[in-house]
Amino acid sequence: MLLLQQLINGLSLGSVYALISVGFALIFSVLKFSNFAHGSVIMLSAYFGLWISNRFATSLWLTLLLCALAGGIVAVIIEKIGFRPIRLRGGSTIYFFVSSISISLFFESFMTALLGGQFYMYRNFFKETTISLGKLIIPWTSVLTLIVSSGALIFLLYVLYRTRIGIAIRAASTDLFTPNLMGADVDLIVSVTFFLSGVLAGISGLFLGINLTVYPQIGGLVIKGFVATVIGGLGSLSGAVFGALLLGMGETLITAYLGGSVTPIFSFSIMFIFLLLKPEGIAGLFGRSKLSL
Amino acid sequence: MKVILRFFVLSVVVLGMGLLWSTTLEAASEDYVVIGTIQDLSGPNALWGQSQARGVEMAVEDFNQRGGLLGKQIVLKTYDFKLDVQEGINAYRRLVNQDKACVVVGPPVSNLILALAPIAEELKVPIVGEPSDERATTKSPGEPWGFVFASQPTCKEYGYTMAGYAIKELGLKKFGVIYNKANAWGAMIAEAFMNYAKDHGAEIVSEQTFLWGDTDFRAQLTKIKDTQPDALVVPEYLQQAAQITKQAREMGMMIPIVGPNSFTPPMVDLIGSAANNIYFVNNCAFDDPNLQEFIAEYKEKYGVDPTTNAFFGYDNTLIALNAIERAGSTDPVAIRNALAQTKDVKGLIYTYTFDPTLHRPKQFVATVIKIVDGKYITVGKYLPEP
Repeated sequence: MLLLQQLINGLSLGSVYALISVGFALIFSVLKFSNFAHGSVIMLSAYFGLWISNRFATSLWLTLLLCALAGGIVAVIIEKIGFRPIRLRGGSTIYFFVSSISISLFFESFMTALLGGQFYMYRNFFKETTISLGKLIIPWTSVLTLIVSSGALIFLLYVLYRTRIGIAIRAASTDLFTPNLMGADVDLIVSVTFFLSGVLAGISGLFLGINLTVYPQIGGLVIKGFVATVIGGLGSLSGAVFGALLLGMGETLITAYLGGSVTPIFSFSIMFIFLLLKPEGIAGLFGRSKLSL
Repeated sequence: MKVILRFFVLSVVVLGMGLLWSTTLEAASEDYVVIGTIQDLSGPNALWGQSQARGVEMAVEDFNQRGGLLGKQIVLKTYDFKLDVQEGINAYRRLVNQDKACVVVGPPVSNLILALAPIAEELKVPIVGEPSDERATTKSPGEPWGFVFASQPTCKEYGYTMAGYAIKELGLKKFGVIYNKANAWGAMIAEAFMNYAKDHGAEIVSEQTFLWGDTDFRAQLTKIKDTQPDALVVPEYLQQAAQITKQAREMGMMIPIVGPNSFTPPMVDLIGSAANNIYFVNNCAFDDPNLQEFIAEYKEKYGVDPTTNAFFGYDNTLIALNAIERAGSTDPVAIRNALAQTKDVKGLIYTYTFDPTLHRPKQFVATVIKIVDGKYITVGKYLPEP
């Protein structure tokens, strides 16, 4: 029973990681760099959701929708200012990487300067905070995180496989240059990719905020997404999901059975093991490495 | 040519500005009494740090209004260390080497002062703070660190008071403890709590740890919950204590929570409905008549309520300035010697007399406060039996 409870905790944690890592992997698959500015989008969305839900007493679902939209828009703006000039200049991926780190540090310092290092709590969206199933007590936020994360991932799957722009994104993930020759608008494809990843960041920002309080360094959790994508195989979406669930479960179980101070050692050693022995990650085990779910 | 000219003009301007700045600095160290303070103004403990920095500011203003110290005005240099020990060490070095501060007030956290104690021994500028970790003031039993002084109870006193009250007064027998292994202060309180509990017939049914930056505590809490303790012990700073409390309540753990002074305001505002059935040990009672004038003045000046840290900021500064006065000079070593003889300095929270072998007061009596439905209720002073 205790193990089951811990597995649910792990699943819930893993599903938030999955939201982060899929947004992260999406950018990697198209532009081939680790976008740490993803953390800024998460952080800004968390603050935005906090502000809107306190100011206008919006319901959870409306807040979720607005956060997702805000995340998408912020990501598109960040791409326009921080990445597009580099791409048009034909700069190497290292410039994208440096730019993304600069952006994330900029926003973190900006929020710290603006609001101080204080942290804020979301108001309670529900009267009851838990669901009881016999002896199992599951926090509402865990259930919700799980449902919404799955929903968001299915939505992404739909866009990628059933829409023209999705097909274009998948084509671009193989090669950014050829679609251009065939008359596809690469700028638009990249913008939409960033919008989609921003939507995921917006949703994860809201859930991280609800679960963990809102503070300027909350975007730092993008590192978990990064670890998950390395485990899953950089650029692979299904790998990112599996990596995230594995990481969430692993962290929870290690914390429960070996103690919380050992957990980071676990997370980073598993990342190293994958980097050294299986750089193509879990996705590589199945022989696919391009954008696939 | 144009480029070279531009570069030349620019460097002259920059140099000039630098020169001007350094001369004003030098003037400052001669005509003023310069004191420094290191606070967390933008890190995870910023709510406390800002409050404490204001307390320091108010004490300095009080003195300056009354004509300053040794016939000079006091200049306060404040540095933000973002709860980062390395930043704090840099700030201390800057205060000593550049600003020529004769004494450094604060910060409240043990981790930084543990690191500063040996450095202060070398740079010889005294620190007056409130680290609870006894290792921050005691080098080895009976021998204090030369330049560190503390105005707060030790972790041991905190842990014993928390445990004594929970066991003897609340009648609780089984405890689940969760603490940050990397936070010297929290780990020391947890250790003292567990030792006292074991010696007084109570049981620690689960001991769980975490690290800085951890945000999800459900794995640990599930573990604790499974052992069915009578109470949850949370000796951690504001942010993680708030997250733990909130997550515990979300998981349906409604048992009493026992903690140290991190549960002082604004905790209740942060955790909303989770703020119930909490017992914590604090340095003072907020309804203490001794504090009311300060609280009113603080509120008028800054528009918010002070936290306990503001009182400490004020008191630490008072102790430091009192020592400068008695030393009759701004020589840091003379101030250090005067600090060691601090006697009956009446502050907001306590009347301070430092024990020369401890560099802090010998014994404190702490106040127990409970939180019921989001309201703070003072239970009273409590001294645990040894």
